[in-house]
Amino acid sequence: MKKTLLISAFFAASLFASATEAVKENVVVEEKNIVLNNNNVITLSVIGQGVAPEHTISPSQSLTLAKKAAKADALAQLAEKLNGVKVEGYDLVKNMVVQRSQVKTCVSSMIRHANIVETKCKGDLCEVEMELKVVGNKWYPELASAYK
Amino acid sequence: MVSRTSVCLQIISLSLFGGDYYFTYSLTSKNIVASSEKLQISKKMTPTEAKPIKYFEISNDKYAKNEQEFVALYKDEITELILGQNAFIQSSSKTTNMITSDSSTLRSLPTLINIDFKEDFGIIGIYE
Repeated sequence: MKKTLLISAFFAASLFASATEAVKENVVVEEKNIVLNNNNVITLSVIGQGVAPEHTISPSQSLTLAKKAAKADALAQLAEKLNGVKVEGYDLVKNMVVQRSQVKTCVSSMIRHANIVETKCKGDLCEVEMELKVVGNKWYPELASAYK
Repeated sequence: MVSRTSVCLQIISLSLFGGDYYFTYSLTSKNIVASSEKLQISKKMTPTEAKPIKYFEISNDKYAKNEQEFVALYKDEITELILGQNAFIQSSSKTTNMITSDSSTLRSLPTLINIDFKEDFGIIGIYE
């Protein structure tokens, strides 16, 4: 009798543990999909990459230019996240065969007060981690009206 | 005579209202490789009534002797500060038959800054 009680208690405990884990997982998923609204502040984080050009005067110049290219890439990614991307697709089909397929994307935005979190350089490649805090009560009405 | 007067006026204005500069910066990168960079620095010739909205400090580790030298030696650091305040990015990519090429242009609007040069450091004030 005691054995059966112990086994049933063990099963009940394990079931409770798995249920709480599922609840925790749900909470994590919800936190990952944070959406900007009037009352919250979200932080956009991106990593931009830049490669050193070949023809430079010195290695330090190529490194500096790689960092700057990485910064421009990071800002472009922030602009994509913030304002969206304009996409244009064009396919040329002749006699039921695709001759040419072209996709153009375009991003254009003004970004203020973006912070550089970390800059890493390894060989020719530089990576810049950048983040931008978006305050909901200031930016949500403007960003929302842009999509209407 | 006129040219002499204008030169005199310029010298007086430089000595009276020295320290205010316009910085304009642009960088073009193609396929994440920087291809061209342009920085224009212009000294302001008229007085500024407004006050800077933000101040930053740059320590004089490169031993600049005067304000002009400080601007020349620390132009990259100053540009970085300005890009933190306002940066205009325009990026486009084109994929033709699965081959992608992209180009980005990073610009800062002509930004007025004030440079207060001390011996050991410089205070950079950025106007609105």
